[in-house]
Amino acid sequence: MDRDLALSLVRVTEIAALASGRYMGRGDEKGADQAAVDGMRAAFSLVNTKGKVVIGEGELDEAPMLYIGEEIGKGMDIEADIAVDPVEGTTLVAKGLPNAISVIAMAPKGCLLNAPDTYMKKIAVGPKAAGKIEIDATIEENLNNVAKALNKNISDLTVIIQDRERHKEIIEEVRRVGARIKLFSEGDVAAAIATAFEDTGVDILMGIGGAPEGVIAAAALKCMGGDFQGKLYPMSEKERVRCANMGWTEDKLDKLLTMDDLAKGNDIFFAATGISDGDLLKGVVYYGDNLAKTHSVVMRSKTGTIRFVEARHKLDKNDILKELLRKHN
Amino acid sequence: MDRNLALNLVRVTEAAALQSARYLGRGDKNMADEAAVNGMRRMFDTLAIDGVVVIGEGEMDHAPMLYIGEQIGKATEDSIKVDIAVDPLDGTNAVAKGLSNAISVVAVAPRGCFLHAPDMYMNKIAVGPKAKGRVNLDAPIEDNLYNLSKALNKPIRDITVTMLDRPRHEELIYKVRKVGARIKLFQDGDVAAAMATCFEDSGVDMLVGIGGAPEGVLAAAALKCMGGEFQGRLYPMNSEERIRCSDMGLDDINKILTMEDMAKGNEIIFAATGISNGELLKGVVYYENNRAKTNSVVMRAETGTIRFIEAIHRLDKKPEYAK
Repeated sequence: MDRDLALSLVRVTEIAALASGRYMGRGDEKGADQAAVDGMRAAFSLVNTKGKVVIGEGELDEAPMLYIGEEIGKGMDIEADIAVDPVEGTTLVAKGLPNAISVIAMAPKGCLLNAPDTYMKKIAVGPKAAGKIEIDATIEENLNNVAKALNKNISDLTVIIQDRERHKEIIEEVRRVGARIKLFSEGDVAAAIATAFEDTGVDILMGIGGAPEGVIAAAALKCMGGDFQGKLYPMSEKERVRCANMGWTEDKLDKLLTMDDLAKGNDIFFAATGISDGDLLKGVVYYGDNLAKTHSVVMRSKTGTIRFVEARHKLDKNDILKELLRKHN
Repeated sequence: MDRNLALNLVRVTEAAALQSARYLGRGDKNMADEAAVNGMRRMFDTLAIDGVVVIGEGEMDHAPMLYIGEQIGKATEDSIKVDIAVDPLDGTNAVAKGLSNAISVVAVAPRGCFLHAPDMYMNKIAVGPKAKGRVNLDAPIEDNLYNLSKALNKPIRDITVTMLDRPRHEELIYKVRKVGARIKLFQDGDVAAAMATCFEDSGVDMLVGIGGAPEGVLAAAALKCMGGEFQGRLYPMNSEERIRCSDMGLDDINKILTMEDMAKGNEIIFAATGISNGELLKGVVYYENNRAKTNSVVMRAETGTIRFIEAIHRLDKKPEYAK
């Protein structure tokens, strides 16, 4: 795919973040999400690709925009799969908490897994520990192997885990082995990405989170040369039925999903913009004189280039933004 | 103009910087420049533009590549016709000696929008957005400092003026010191110094003095994108240069050149990448496993967006033309 898409995708997440950022702390999760969806949809209409949403806001009957199967973009030739999470962490935005981001991943048609809306058991690490994790191995084995790969003591290793009741056993076991833990309330993709950057202080992600987010995280980690493994993990009968309807029958559920199963090939783009301050990206800051600043990252698996983009926007000089911010003011 | 050109211009300056930075401190000005020219030219060849070099490495007989008038880009029928202004390496000495503030810069505008500035001196003044419209190239330096101090809401003693460290600026330095402002002299890198006036954190408030005219056009393009102000006047040193001015169609050499005269209109894109560490941009850093980091800035006058881009490159995964 054309390398020009990289900056186009940053514009998409930047605009989503600039719109959604307006809802910070306003206690309005729906508003925060709607603003990001509106922003992403408007900005994507300028992207030169024939895109199809494979991971989005839900099924057609649940979401008016960015629903699964929706065709977006203005291109005619290049057919692409799109995975989006316009706001990862709507509660975070609503409460003004850290780590909310807007994310998008893109790959040639058929390359991103159309994951069912269910849970996924996950493990993720950065480039230095790539190839050293196994989702079926014990926690102790994984921690030992990652510690060795990073050339640090287990006591200096930081595991990031979502703060949920279902992770009680994982947390106990990590503590028993002696590693440090960073719990997060929301933002599975951001947490997975953090493992690929040493300065975040996060070495490994473990636990059970959303399957769609797993696909986005796998796309990102592929660009960065990290590693990701997942297994679908339906938690209710309803989810099991949903999985079965999409071909994930009981006998297939135990399949190990590698990065390549989730995000195939080597032509993957990923972009994210911070909405609130996080480990990796700073949140949107609004200044006087209609200025705002965003902090993003964009990556391309083909060349392995990772670009951090700090952008200063003139909110009154960009037509899409003007229109959006009139609605979400 | 196509907004996708913005990131592609960063790719151009990144390629030049990654090549040129290899020569840091190796005492070879020419090689450092040649490497930057090569990197820039090869990346330009992959862009779908119909470009003509307006500000470049010199006249055709002096420069094998990126000479004035050279056609560059991979033009197709519907490609936009553009003027290209480049300084593949602003600060050749800085790279040769491993000193700070070397950058690679490029600016693009629709055909006919850049002044074809001759290779001679230019008298310049540059300030950031807050002082826009408050200085004048013809006003005494004392007046400009006074007005700048009012516009920035800080006393003159807290104002920092930057200028090239050259004997020709002796009188200017004397006057600035007499009024009580601070001075930051620099050896090399006129474009970077002008840009610094637009970023408060650089600690630089105003650029004055005589530098290169081609660099003046690049600075004007950059300051237009940032909402700053730049004025210049050609400064021919002899009759030969004066004749060159009139040959290029510049009748009134004494005219103050505004940003509009040097970089016309609103469809300007400007990009720069640091080669050695500077006030605004960090230089290239090479890491283990064939990786390197660059720091760049890219701006578009039309939307006023300014993007700082820190990129981590995998040198072994780059396409052939970028190696």
